[in-house]
Amino acid sequence: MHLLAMITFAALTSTVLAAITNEAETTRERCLYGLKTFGAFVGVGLAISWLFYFIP
Amino acid sequence: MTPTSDAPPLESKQPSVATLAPVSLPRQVVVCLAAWLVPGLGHGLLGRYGRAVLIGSSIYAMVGLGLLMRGHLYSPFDPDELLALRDVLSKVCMIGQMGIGLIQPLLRLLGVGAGFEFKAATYEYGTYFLVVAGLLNYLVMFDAFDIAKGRKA
Repeated sequence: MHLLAMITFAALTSTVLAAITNEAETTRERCLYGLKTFGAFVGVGLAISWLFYFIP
Repeated sequence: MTPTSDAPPLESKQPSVATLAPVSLPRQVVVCLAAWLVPGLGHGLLGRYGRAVLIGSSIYAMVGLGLLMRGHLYSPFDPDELLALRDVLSKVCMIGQMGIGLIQPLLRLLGVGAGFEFKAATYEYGTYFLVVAGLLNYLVMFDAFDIAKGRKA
């Protein structure tokens, strides 16, 4: 449930951020930006969750 | 001299003058208000239909999922929630949720999301889905303003 909520959040947020970014002009660049943002959200989320796992 | 076929198109990164033309001041105000009240409508009024659909569907999906996860929707009408000095964090959440636009007061008038369902495992997720949906719409509003001012395509 937690992972699903995080992935859904990352997907929706990165879609909006890709639509409004100044760093991309073409559709292809926007898609790449969205995928990078999505990956960053999920990757950082997983990294932080593993970090907390080792903290008692 | 004709350009060779493998020459990079010089104008690919340069938006045309027409796309960067600013709209009139009253229209800028209308676009910003529309972008706030109905997510995606500001971009739609500026002719960015694809982006408008993406933005609108994503933000409304976040709102719907937030409510399905039993998140709390703060009321902009409740003076206790609006003016009381205690519980400052909930004011921040309320200001964030006000970014959703018209649907927030409408849903609250219908009694949707009014309860604090702390016992639900997804209560916090749902509430913050609603907050982030509003915060994203503030960003969308600024983006629509930039387009209306002619600062970006």
